[in-house]
Amino acid sequence: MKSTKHKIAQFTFYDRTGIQTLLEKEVQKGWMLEKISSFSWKFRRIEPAKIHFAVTYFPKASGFDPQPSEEQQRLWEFCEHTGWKLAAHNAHLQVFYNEQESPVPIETDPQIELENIQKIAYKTIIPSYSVIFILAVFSLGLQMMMYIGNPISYLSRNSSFIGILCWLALMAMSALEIGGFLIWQSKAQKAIMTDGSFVKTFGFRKIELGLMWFIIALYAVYLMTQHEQSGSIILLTSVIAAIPAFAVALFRNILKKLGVSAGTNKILTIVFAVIFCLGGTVAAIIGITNLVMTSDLFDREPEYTYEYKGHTFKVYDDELPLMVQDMVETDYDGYSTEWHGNESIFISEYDAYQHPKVGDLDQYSLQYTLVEIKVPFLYNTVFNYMLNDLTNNRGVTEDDPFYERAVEIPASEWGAQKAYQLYIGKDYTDNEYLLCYEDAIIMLRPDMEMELTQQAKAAVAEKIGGVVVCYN
Amino acid sequence: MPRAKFQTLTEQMFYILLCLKNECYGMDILDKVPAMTNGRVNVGSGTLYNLLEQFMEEGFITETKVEGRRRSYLITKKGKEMLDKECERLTAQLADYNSIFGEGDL
Repeated sequence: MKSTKHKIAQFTFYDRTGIQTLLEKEVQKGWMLEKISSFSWKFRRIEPAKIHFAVTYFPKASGFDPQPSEEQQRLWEFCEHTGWKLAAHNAHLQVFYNEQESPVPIETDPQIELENIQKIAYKTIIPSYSVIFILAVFSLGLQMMMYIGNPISYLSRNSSFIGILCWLALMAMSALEIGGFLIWQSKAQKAIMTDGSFVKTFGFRKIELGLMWFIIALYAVYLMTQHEQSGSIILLTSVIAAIPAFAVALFRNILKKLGVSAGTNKILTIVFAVIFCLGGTVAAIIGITNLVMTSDLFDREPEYTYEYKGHTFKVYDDELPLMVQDMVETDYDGYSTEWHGNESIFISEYDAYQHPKVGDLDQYSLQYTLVEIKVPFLYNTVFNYMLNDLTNNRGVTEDDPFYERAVEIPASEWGAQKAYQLYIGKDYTDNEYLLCYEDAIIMLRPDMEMELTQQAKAAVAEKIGGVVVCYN
Repeated sequence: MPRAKFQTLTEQMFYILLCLKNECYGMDILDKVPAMTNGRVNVGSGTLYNLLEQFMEEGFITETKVEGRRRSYLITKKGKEMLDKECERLTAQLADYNSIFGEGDL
């Protein structure tokens, strides 16, 4: 039977009622609080007992104190005199227990208790949560800008969705902490003025724990759905990103153990954090650049290579939903086919490339971007972006001879719901099309020389739209 | 609106200051107050610690002896005046009661 256990410490900072209740339940099950750390609460096995707990706050203490101050120890002696023994403490939080049946509470004046909690709240907790809240708002704004800039690229990555959820969760947590405290403070003040009573605190432990596990589960699912190599890189990046937090905490704790004063420790830890983060960022940039430049980590193994005029070319053999062979009669077998893209729970976006060998000039090539829309309400967003993307008029005015227009063409022979072709200037048509099917949109860029016969269009309808088009 | 500080004294503040008519260790106040009031008033250890700090800041009490972490205190002139003011207030309250119900009613 194990003699110790750990619990994740996810308490609203002022929730003395919640903490006391949890500790009284734990001790009845035979678990006594032994240590409070930043990440978890440690319990040791004891005989089950009915013991009272009291949570109090000491505003003068901080997480940088090398050891409890004389003043704090004097308070503990006062508490011990009335039967309250210290169970554990961390920074300003102190937890006491008392084995007497009806002990005199540690706090008998609610106004003084409220003032202590307010001192801590306004000095450390509320500023910290405000920073998190502002960061979350800023990050969500950034995500919104990325979405507006390129909704297809944004929506085709599950990481975007997970990023939003993480920031929303952090925003909710900080709003709960700040808002909850302000409401409790107001109620407590009112009760003091009315009948001088203590008001029970309320926390959001279950909600916050739920949010935390939800995010962890999402992250795990995200990692599992990645290709083996991408998953490992993401996991490695996450571990590297977590290193600064642990390194700074370790640095602070080492200084505490060395007996460095709280003020000096605070300054040195901030300096260390800045240097470590800056140094880490520079090292990461250099490391990633080197990795990209020198290693073949991001290169795929080609099917085979061939030489042409002293240069080596790679041939890939990815499966494509639509190929040149579907659109025209050919027995050419020297094609290289590549299929790259991203897929999320909302949409998938893939780019397809089919090229003949360099030098085989009489063979057609084919390129297209295929977007499958899994959530119908996103269809119009995807369509509008792709229609706009078909033309490229940056710096070109409407009266320019090279002004590009997307002109609607008959869609039936493509088996599509809507079809557009790129026009350059007044009369010149380009071999670029935007074809809209029920749940997919394709931007098709066949070879300039490729004549799009009815057979070719029917092939697109069948392979991309799943529609059979009859032709003579 | 928070309680105006030291405009009046709470029962706990009153008895703590009363205990410090004679020099007394802080910790001993925890026993003296219930003894003085037959257990009617108890001061919590955290509350006592904070009130002693606040009384020191206001100049109501002074530290007379420091032995390690043990400290003893004594009421100051300003503290005595505060106690007197509170006594006057309570006496006035009692007089008002008596004028309405008569002394025999209590």
